[in-house]
Amino acid sequence: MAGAKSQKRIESEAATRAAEFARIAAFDLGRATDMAEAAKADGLQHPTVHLLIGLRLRDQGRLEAAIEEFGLGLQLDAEHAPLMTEVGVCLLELGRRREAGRVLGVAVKLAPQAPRTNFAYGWAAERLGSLDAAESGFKRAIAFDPNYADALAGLSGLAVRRREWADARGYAQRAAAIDPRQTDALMNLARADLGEGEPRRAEQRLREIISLPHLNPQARTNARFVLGDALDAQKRYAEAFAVYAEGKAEMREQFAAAFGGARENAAYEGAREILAEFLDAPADAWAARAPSPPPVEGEARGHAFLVGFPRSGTTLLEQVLATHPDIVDLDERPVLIDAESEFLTVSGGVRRLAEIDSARLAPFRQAYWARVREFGVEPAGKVFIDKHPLSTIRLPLISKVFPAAKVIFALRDPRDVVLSCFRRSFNMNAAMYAFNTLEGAARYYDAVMTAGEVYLEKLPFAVQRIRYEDLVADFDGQAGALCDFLGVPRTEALRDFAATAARRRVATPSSTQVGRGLYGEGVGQWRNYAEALAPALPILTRWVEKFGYEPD
Amino acid sequence: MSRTDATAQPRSTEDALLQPALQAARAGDMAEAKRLARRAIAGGGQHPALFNLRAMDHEDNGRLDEALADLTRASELGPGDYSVLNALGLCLGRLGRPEEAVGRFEAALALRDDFAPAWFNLGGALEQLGETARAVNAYAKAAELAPGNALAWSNLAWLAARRGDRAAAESYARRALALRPGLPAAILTLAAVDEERPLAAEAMLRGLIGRPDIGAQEQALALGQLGDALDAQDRPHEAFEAYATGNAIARDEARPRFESPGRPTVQTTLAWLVPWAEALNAGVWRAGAEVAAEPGPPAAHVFLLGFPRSGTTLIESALAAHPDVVSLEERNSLTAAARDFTSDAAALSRLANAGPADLAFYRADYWQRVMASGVELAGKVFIDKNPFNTLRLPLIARLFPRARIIFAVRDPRDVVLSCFRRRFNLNPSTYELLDLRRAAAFYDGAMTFAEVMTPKLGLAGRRLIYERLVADFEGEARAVCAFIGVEWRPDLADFAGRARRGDVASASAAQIARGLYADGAGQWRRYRGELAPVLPVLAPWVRTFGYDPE
Repeated sequence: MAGAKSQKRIESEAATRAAEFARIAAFDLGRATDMAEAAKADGLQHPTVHLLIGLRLRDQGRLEAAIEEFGLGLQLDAEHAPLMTEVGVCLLELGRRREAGRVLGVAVKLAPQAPRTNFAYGWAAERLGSLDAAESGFKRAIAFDPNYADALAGLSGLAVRRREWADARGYAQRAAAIDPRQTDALMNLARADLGEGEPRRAEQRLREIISLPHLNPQARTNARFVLGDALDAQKRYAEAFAVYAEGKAEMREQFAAAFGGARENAAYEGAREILAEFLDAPADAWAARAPSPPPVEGEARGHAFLVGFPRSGTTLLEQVLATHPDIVDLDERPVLIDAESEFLTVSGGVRRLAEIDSARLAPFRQAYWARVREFGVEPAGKVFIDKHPLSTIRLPLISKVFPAAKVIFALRDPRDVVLSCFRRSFNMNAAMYAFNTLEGAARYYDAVMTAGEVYLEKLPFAVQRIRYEDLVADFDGQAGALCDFLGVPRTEALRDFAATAARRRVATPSSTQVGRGLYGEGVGQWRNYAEALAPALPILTRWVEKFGYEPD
Repeated sequence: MSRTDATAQPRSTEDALLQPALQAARAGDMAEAKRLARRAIAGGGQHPALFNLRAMDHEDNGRLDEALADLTRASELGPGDYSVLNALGLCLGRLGRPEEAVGRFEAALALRDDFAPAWFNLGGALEQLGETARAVNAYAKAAELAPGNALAWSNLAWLAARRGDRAAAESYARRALALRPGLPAAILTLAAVDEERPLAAEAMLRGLIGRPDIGAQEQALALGQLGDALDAQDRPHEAFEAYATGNAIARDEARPRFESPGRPTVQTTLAWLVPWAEALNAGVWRAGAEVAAEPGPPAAHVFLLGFPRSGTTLIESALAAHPDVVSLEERNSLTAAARDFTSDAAALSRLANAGPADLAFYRADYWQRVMASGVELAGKVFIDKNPFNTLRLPLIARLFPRARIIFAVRDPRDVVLSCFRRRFNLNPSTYELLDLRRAAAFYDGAMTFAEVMTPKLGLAGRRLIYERLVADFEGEARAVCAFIGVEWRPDLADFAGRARRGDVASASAAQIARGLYADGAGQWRRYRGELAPVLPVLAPWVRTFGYDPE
């Protein structure tokens, strides 16, 4: 009894001290954290102690260590919503979106009125592409704390995606009036300037943003890409190119540790390796169309892979098709990941694939459709479109796992493609790291197209090639042909794809552009940058000719 | 801020009356506490805490005079009660008596110098008095003692911004915002220091203006700053609109204070003052002035006059760097004489007939006020800068006939526009500048008055043309030095550093801190359309001062 009593006393003492830290943290986080660290060394166990220490680790960029620290707190109180929220935030910053989504989904149920939890949930939802859930998360955060600047900035970002400029502006200004450090809000204002046809104002605003002393390096880089667009819109192409180049150089530096040095050519070499293994296997291993496998439960009525290369118009095509009542789609989600890890990320995998009996791939098919459903898409009875521009290099895998699938191959003037890859910032991975130099982008393009041409020649796919420029010039004809190819009735409704894009709120770099409707201004852009593109042109000439574009 | 947390221990005889009220206050039920206090006083209670509580009740209901009486009583009953003194200071401040408020806060701090609220309130009262440097010290002390007080940081930020110290302003404002996200005053400060980023400032300000939780004063300030941000983007039409809207809000807010029936305004004053000047018999006036002549404490005495936004701060800042010069910046040094002799024509006639003894009294009052501000006069050239003293030329001539007058002149169109654009601390004169037409009429009246009076009064005067000073600083400043009798020194040009270090209190301070500003010349052309209604009023002065009519 006495033991229990003294235990209680210790607990209440811990609670009192923790409450004191929390009170001090409200105006002096640094001091409160110092005290928490001392208390922890002293043996004090309390969720608040771990929360404070974890926050400091997070601010130091030590995200994994922070998650561990928060975890210690959760061991003391498994339902501590603030700790769970911070775990989710760190996961998001680490790019572990799905885990973050799960953790935050729980946190928001535990603390449905906590502004930060709702905000973090909205943020995760946005990163996962669920823009409606994102909006509701942000709005709830604001409902419980009208001065939540990050949530207001989040709403302005969503409005930018919907091209609702007045809303974007309103939310961004509200955010700026609460936390002038909220640079996302300022960026959204610049995007609204551009969207409303005010590139000079956008330029001025972006230069202001870039000059902010407290701006973090990634945000500054992002601002450079938008500044490039603002200069481009004013036809100041040389200046625009210089700004894009500056942005890309910064990205190269920022991600050098993860993707530079020895790993610099990883994506390029990966594509070449898969191709080499593919060519090593006897040709007949690929040529014969495998017998259609027995259906797995819940399969789609039809199945097509929309491939090509980033910035080749795949987003546009996907949006157009998604308007069709018989078609469902997923926007660049890793649904093929299980088969991919088994056969494409280990050397020798493609050789094994060449010899495999299609029946043994059934578990991968099941996993694939399960993942599709996990992302909230019900493919049964529909034609399912799996859009992933770089799935071009996965075509051998696709042909084995889904021998009956069709392939839509999106093409666009290679010079426009490479230029566009250089003008955009992407979420970084090995492939996108190649886009940090013009030549790197061109070489990677060459490697992917080389592989793609071989695969399409040797694999027994039903293929529809569609040129972006043709779609822009003759929308009805091209869209109709696609419908025929996919076996769905032609429909006028496809023309409304811009409205659909806005409603569905998709999330790739192209989505704001697609929201604008058909964008013919993307055709022949490269001519404005011909001089700057010179180093990349020799690598691309072959493809320009092959795809039938004007040599100059 | 609680006033009751530190009240003295109750004396046993009064416990029965006092305790219930105190208990209610401690429990946080202030309404009940006030009610019980009222009852206790009615029942003969005499404890300071009771009067303090009842005063709070009066104050909450706008009965400031009753509150003052109760607090005075409370402080008599408990002279050692610093919280009562603090409350007394607050009440005096609200009554527009900041000098007395300062005294009470200082008394509270003498009893307990770690009482953060009194430091904070002292800062506010000093700020009202234009005592910027002392206000900064007080706020800094408040922030040090209570680092969680967002308002202390935010006020420090605002004062840092006014003296042009951007780095300090930003760091204080961010500190305030970390404590209280969205604090309007801190946002206004950040928008003000972000002048190189007018689009960011615009965004902040538009967001702030749209917020339902900000008051009329903040709204007016935000609109004025928005005007500046739009002006910096060369969007003068929108800028003017923002200035006009902000000024209208400020005017509506201040109207009861400055336009109550029977209260003289600049307009009503000019209506009799100008005809009085025109009719004045100069001979009589000058003869009387000769009698009055009497040397003051400084070696030489200079009045720097003109109209607000005419460059007076610029020349004063420059000259004050001279080791032989001391200056006073926009303090009401002539208050007593102005109060007694400028209410109407009859009062001015009394001044004409005032004997040497009377004049000596007002002169002494003047020097006393000057020295109270900490200025060391002996052996120096003393510059009293206050553009609003232009209308007090008769007082100056009568009390100080040997004083020299520097009269700052700038393109009238730029002056009036600049006055309209600037956000002044409001007094009866600056209130007039919130309306473009009234500002122009004020300008016209003041210039007419000065033009008529200067030759009649026989004062030693010199015009200082702002545009010339900006174009050839050394040449003009040398001439001014010669006029006031000091030698030119090359370091006089370093007034920007002084504004950053010291306390230049006028609306021009932040501009001065940036260095010489030629961007002020000819601004009015960008606002030609908006200024159209007042250009005819200003045209004669454009001609008189020799500016290009176009």
